Amino acid sequence: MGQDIPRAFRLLAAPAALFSFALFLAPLLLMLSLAFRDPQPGLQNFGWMATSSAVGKIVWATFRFSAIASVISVMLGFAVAYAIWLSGRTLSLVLLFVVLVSFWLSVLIRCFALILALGPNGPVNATLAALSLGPVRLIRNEPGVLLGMVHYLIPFAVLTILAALRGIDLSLVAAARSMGAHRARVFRTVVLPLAAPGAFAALALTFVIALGFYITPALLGGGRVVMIAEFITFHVQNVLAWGKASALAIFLIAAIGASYGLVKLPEMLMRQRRAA
Amino acid sequence: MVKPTELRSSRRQLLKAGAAGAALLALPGIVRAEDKKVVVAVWGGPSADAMKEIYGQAFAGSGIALEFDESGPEPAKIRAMVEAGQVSWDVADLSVADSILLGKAGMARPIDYTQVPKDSVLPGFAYEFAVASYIFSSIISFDKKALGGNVPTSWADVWNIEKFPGKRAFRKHIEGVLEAALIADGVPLDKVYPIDEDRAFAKLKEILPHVIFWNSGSESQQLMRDGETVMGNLWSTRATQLANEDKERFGLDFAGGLLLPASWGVPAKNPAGDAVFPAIAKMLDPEVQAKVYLKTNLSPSNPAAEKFIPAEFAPFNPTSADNVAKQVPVDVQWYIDNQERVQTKFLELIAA
Repeated sequence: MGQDIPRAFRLLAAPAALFSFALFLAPLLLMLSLAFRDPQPGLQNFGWMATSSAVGKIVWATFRFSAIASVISVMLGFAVAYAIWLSGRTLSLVLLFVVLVSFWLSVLIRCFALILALGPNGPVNATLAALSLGPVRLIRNEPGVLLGMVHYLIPFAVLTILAALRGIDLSLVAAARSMGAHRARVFRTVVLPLAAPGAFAALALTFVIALGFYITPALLGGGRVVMIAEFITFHVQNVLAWGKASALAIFLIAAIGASYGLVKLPEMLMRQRRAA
Repeated sequence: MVKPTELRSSRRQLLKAGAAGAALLALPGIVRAEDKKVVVAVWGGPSADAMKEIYGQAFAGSGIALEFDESGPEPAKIRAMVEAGQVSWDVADLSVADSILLGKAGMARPIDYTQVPKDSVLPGFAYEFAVASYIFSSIISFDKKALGGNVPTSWADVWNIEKFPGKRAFRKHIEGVLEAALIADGVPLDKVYPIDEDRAFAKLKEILPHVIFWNSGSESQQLMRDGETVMGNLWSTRATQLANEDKERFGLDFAGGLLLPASWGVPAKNPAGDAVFPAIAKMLDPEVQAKVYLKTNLSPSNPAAEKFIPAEFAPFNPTSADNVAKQVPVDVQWYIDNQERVQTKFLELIAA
């Protein structure tokens, strides 16, 4: 595909590449190199990371919450994307608008909104109490963290999956229907396989975003859910152990790269199979 | 500074402006060219507003022009500034432990006690790399209404879920929480340090399912105001503010409280150089400190300030004689030696 572009044109990418390197990549590498030289040169920061039981527990919590949140987000996001895809023009625009509005709101504002809405004196608990079903503790616990994470991740899933669905040729659906397939059968044998790469992309994207969560677990978890980002902050700000923070950051970046590759793998295999 | 419009003005206008400028320089309290600029880094919020106003008045005509930076003097920022050789702060509102951490790494300057009189702070609150600026406490705050008037008077009561049901708000930090756990477990006030970690963690584990941890002072107040928690360990500044908002609902108790100094520390290579020390001495003036206390609940570190504080404030003042007797002063050295290791253990214990 690169062959179609004249070689000289590739130089057009140079300013942006240089900009990214000088202002993002170089400082990032400098920062990450602290892991090997702070407080003294050596690998002691990685040794600490490999042996500390606290690190193990926090890494496990980060992966567990990220996995659950991204799977739920993709399932719910698929339903929303499917509804937008199949709705009439007006309704699909309204649904898309709702998704985009929540997408554009800052994570902090969404967190506080959830605290207000789901707190003991919030409208949700007032309704539950009126129906004598509550009050229920919806935040400051593990389900609260998952709720906040899924709330943040769903728009990412919807937009990614919707792009995949919109790439599906609707005449294939019509053809399947004309051959007598039920809606469920059409979904299972036509839509789902064609949209699967989009769903996998959404899974990779939401999982990778979830790994870096900081505000949401800190505010909605009642302090009982500690993820890697918060642990890094503690080492940067409170104890000035920048070497340890940097080692944790290297681990997080590696984990993000590995998870992205792992989730992208089936998608790539599927593409190859189709191309073959 | 000369604005572009002034460049086009006539010579006569310029002369007039010059004369007016000279007249201004003669007035006391106006920043003059020869005034030494000292930059104070603080945490923002209402206490910073009060400091700006009160220090501003106190420094008028002193030859020192105070400038405030409210972006929050995190030690990490100071480390970054010093390492980059671009230090923009002269004096920073730091915890004592932070200033010593920085001082040991060569990133903070020792306080010059020939220029800052040692007796302008309570005995034991003048450290090598910091001098106590204000004192506050980590104390019991409670919601009288939610508890139906049955209120806690000790950390043992805070730990007693049967007698005082409801969620607790604890700081997500060992400072104040481990001490409270030990006192609740029966350790006498003078035996709290050195902290018996295993005993404190065992006691904390007992109550863990009933605790919501807070990260910031405002979050602790929000937990209490919204009724998410019925009691907890709050900073005295925040607990007093709650009690002032609604006396019928919120109460506080200094029993077993932890006295915590905030302090002024000086970053290495600070721009104003040695001029920072007379500025610190002036900020420790007893009358100035008393004024700041009356606006912010930050208690004076200068014992001479007590006579400027009306008697009705004594029950809420962490450093009133009665309250000091009920509390433990924080052992800063213990935190310097143990904070990183024990806080990591603490996060491991409380994390899901």
